[in-house]
Amino acid sequence: MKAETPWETRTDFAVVRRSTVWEILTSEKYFKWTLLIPLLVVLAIFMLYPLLYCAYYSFHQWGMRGEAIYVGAQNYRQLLNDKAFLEALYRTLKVLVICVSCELLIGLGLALLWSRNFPGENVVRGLALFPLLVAPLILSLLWNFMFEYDFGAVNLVLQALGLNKVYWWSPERALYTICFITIWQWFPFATFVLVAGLRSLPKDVFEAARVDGASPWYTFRRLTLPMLSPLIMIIVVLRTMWLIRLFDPLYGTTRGGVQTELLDWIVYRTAFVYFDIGYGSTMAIFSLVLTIAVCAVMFKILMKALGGAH
Amino acid sequence: MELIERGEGEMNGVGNVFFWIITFFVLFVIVAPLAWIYLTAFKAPNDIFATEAKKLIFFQPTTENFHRLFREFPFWDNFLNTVIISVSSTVVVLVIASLAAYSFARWNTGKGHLLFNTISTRMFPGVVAAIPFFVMYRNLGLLDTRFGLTLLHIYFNVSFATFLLYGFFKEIPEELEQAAMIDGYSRADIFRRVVLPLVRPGIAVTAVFCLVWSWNEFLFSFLFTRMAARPVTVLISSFWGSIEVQYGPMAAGAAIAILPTLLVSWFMQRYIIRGLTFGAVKG
Amino acid sequence: MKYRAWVSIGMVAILVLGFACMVLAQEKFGLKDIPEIKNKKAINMIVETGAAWDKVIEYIKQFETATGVKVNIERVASPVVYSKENVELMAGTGYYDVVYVETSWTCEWSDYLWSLEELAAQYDPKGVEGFQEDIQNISPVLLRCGQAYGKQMVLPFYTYHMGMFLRQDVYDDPTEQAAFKAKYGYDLKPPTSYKELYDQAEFFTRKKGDALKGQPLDHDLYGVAMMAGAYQINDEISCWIWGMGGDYATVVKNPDGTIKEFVITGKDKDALKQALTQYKDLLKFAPAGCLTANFDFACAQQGEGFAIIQPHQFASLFTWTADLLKEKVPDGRLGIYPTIGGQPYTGAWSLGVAKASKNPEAAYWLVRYIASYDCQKVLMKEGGQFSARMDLLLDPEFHSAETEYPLGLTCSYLVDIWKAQAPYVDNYWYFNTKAGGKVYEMQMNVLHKPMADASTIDECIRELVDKTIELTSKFDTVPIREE
Repeated sequence: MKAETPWETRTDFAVVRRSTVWEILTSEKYFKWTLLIPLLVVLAIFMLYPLLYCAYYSFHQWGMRGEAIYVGAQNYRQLLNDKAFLEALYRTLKVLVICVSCELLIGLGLALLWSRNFPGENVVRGLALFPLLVAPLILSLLWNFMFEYDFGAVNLVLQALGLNKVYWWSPERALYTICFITIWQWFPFATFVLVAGLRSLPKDVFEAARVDGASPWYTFRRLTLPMLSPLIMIIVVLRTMWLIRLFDPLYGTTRGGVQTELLDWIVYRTAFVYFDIGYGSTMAIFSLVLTIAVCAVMFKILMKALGGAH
Repeated sequence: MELIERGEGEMNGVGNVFFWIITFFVLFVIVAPLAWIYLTAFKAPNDIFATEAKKLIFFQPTTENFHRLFREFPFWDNFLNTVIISVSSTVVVLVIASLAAYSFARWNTGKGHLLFNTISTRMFPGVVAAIPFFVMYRNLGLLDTRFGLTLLHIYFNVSFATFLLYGFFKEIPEELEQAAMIDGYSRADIFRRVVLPLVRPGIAVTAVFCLVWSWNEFLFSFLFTRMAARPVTVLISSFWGSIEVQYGPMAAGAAIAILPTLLVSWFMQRYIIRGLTFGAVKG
Repeated sequence: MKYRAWVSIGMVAILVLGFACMVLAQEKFGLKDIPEIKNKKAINMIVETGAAWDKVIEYIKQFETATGVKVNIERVASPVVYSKENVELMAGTGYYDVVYVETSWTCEWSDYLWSLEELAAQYDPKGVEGFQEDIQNISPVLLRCGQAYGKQMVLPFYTYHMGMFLRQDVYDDPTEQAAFKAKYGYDLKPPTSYKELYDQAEFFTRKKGDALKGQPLDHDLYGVAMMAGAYQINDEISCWIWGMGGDYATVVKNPDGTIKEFVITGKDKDALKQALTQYKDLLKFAPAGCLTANFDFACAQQGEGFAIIQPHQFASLFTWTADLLKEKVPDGRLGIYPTIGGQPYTGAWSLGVAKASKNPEAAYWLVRYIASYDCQKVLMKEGGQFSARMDLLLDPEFHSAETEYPLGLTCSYLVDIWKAQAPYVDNYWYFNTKAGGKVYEMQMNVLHKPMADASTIDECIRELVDKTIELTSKFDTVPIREE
């Protein structure tokens, strides 16, 4: 009998202890952090590790063979004088401005058109969502062939219509062709966000405006647009974040040639074609800091916009 | 005239014609390229490289491309990999993201900085992160395993999933939870029994997005797999020789690989649109 | 007597036949010559997609059956073969046993590869001699491309040596010959200098409605078709500068044959400047699409009858272009000649054995097998690519009345140009530096720029020199300098 007592005690102890940990984890004070543990673990492994790795090698010259040589800030100096990198940066901004503004304009136009109830609404919506969900890589391979000079469907159609064939991948046009592909894939995003926004606008305000005799254009500018602005912000911020990292549309088409090299492609080329880890890390860190700076500002606006919509 | 105010109201005859012309034009621009994938998938090489416009639509259909794809390439194996990886990564992402999103939405944990940091992880150029991962994966023996790629897809998707769910959790009124607390529920119970059932639509939306993103992911899939764990997007990207591109099998592969996403966008359209607004518009 | 005579004749005949059989059996290494492979571990390799491998992969199954070693073949898009292999080689995963090598990477990867002589000494019952005897049939040019610092690292799978394609029927036409002679004062024949090429390109550039071979044209005609897009222009420029005796950098050797340094000499830069200037000049006589064209566009232009000369094109595309021409211009006929200066761009996709391989024995035999006569014949007959084996290119099967044009013609061209070019290859910079693959990748973009007016020729040369030095000093141990 005596031998059993410690066992029992132990079991009790274990039960008590287990519930204590559980209680601490779910207590009012710590519960919010408990919930974050899995996320933070994932991010620590997959984010911090490459970040520190790159930060370290950005001060070294290393091509994955032999010893890494410490070079101080030389890589950063080189980066700021690297014409190719600065050009890629400029092109990325250009693509960003073109794509975001076109998507917004097309999106707003179509949203105004499609926000009413009309027969076949579901069919239109279902079809128009397609581009958003198809793999960007497959689309880039597809468009590469569609825009081919001799056999591409686009030129064949142009020819059949009696028009001249166009060199879609010529140096002065290729970047815009890339923009077209991107816009084609993403305009439904802007469209449907704005459709949802338009449908949620309160009717009575517009009734009142009409009674007051306001012109439709005036109402649109003074009422509709301001009320949609949180959603427009969402579109701008999210698209900016995604566009800065634009990569897949280049992969199946120009592969960075004919003056279409964008930020992520030059980083890819440096890291995965030249395997210049030192310099590639520098580019990565620089572009991370840059995008975070841009996005931090935008994110603040976005959170305000999200708050405002609720 | 309300057309430009809220896009609502009656349309007259001219407006109606105008509406349908634009709508059909837009649908044509969207559908034609996708239809072209399916047409190309059934074309013989000569028809693919024809230089007459009428051959775009009128040709002798053949299933040879599909036969080649199934016979000479491990298409179904790769397809199965895609299914396994995208489903399992989605399940894990949903668990992690819903816990975190609830914390961010209810307590504003980290005062917004942490949420921003979470999202900013997606701004790190994946190509550069890939090299330290590659070395790490080699040491852990995770290269070319479904498990390894699933982990990467979890990392890849978790930040936006958190953000997406954040919007849905925000909509749940705090009073509900307070009421539950008075009834003696613990925090964990409230989350499980009160909050989770309420965000079910949000979870569905997030699941759709994660599935699709993982299904479509290319860069990591390409770099971290060889033969065993290779997903289908990588196979499709591979039909690019040094002096020839095999558009036939490529189109056949793409035709099958995009089918599930097309079906999802057709049947889940309401949910998807709901998700796109990131909780800014109440559904 | 009669009886005896017959017997002795018969015996001699049998002896001769038997001897011939022995010689034949010895000469052509094949599946039967692979000895028992003791190591049965499966081997992995990565190759590109495309018809060439489609056919050969089926043939590799025979290797698997005969040796009992499983061969796993991963297939990727050709532009990413380098990245995929390099990351595995650098990280030392030891995953790929057989390594698929573009010849400009041979030196770069020489640290990761076994030299094939070493493996022959270890695994080949006939030793290094047997190996060397078999590879004697391979083009000396491509063998050299597959060497690093004097050692044979890889054997070629298929080659894309370049050549000049021109419309033989037009050059043979008496009215054209007379008109040309009247205008330029010398005979119309395939160009061997830049001036002749320029004259002829100008001569053949005509408008719709003008005559060609006495017949009115129903389309515009261009003198040349080139590929100034950002993928193959550096191969074209290589033809020009090698032809002028220049290079991207000059290889300076020590008396013992080792490499002392690389120097970008004034002569190199002059050759480059001249090449770029002349190339750009020539674009006047090319269809506008050439500015962004790749090989497919250029060949299609000639095949459709829109262009007369392709000054530099991959010889492996000759048959395709000729077939297209036969379809579009039934009386048209192509000829293939050396590029100006007689030193066209060269290279081959090749195969070598990784040092980290778990089964170098089987990997070695697979490389030998794929380079063998039988396997290469499959490549040529079904895969539509050109082998680097001269004995195969001279096989009567490719030179019969039906096959002589266009296939046999290309084969003969290749064998002749290889013999003529062999002495020069050893000095080509690409095949002496560990930075070859990286510089090649960089050149594609930089050399395209002046053609698209994105930079001047001088700016382009400056950028090219700077980046060549930067990449070479990062990735090669041999010093490089500009003169």
